[in-house]
Amino acid sequence: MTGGDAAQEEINRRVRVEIDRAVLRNIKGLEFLTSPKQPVGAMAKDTLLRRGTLQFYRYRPVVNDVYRIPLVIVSPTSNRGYVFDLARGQSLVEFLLQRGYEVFLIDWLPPRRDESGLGLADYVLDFIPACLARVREVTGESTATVLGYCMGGTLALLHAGLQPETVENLLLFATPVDFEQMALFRLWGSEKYFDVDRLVDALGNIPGEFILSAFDILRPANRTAGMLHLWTNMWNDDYVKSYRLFDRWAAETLPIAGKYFSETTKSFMWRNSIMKGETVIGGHRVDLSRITAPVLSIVAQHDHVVPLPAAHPIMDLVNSKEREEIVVKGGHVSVVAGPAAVTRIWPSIDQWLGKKSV
Amino acid sequence: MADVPFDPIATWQKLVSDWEKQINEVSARVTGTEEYSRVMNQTTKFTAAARQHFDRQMEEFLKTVHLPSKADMAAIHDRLAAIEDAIEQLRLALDRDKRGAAPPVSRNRKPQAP
Repeated sequence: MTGGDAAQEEINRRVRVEIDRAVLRNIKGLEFLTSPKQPVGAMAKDTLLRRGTLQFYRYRPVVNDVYRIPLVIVSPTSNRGYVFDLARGQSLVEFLLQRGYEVFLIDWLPPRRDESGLGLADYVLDFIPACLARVREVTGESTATVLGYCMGGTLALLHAGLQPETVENLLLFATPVDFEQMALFRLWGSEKYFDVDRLVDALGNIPGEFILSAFDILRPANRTAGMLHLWTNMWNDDYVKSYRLFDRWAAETLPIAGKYFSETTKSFMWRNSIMKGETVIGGHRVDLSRITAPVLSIVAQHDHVVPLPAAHPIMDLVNSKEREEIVVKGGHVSVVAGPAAVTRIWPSIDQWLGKKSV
Repeated sequence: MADVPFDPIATWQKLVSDWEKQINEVSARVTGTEEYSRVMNQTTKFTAAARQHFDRQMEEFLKTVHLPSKADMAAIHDRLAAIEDAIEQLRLALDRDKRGAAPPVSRNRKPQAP
């Protein structure tokens, strides 16, 4: 075969592939538009605690011999915890269970109207300790590894600062502490223009759409570009499934309890209290230097929600001998789910945590 | 230099990614100003005030025509949710008594050598 024939054959092959994909796009595109919500949740679990917005689960171990120290995940208050357990092969929980950890999850439901008065103290001094107490009852262990993502990480960190004796290891994913570095959120929520009390007074709980629209303004082209990429990849079942899982998760952004929203705005956004060591919760000043447990902080290089400099100071605030920061490529969600998490981040966690969980 | 065959799909995807980046950059410049923050918050304030006013008017109207308002329905929803919660807590307590507190698995795992 001459060079010219080979080139012609290659062009023909590519044309055939693209025609096949174009046909598949149309067939699968129709399926996509008419299909129900993508089911989520791969691993079997039992509810241990349910109290209003709080749901606390224990995942059933999949090995007979687990690590001594249990692991408790704290979800971000604005999002559902199933991001940790999207589907088989895309589930951090599944990975951890298979590696021998006993996994618990603090998940949040939309706060009811009568829960608009829940504040930081309820989350840090009531919900998290109540869940850790249940873990003690179930496992007999007095400490646990606490893993928090985004604001779930901030809550975990604040809890560890107030009750360090309950935390064996601290794992933080994209956890903001220096709110001065969250430039756009800080500007939009500026004390000069943002009447947070009036908003909370008018709405009670802050609707999920309000939170979602703030993320959309931050990256207005993402949604449209995401749809265009989806259309291009509509022939690829794995891509479509993954898109639908993440799309469902983002669309189900939770409302936020009014008082909690007001307190976090004033304390974190306006006063940057964590960095100044001035956070007071339930009358107690939070001293993060009391944290001596090993800390692993995982941050994403291109995170537009919690930029790297907003999470980086964790390393200086805690007093742990063993503290490590891993910076990974990708965005805000890629630290907990997606191909980079599966292949790089989760194995690193296991390597770091295994020897600290015996 | 080796010939790179023309790939229209890859070109299209790059075009979309570049467009996405450009729009996001332009938007960040527009929304990252004091003026934008002022206008956005002013709009939010008016919207919240208008909504509060409308809710109050609607509440009055529904009261007059003896129909339940959104607030009444929300109160019933909260009450039902609280009852559901209480039932769930009873169920969990019963489950707990049944299962006991003993850990169902041994807890002696050691990390495997890499």
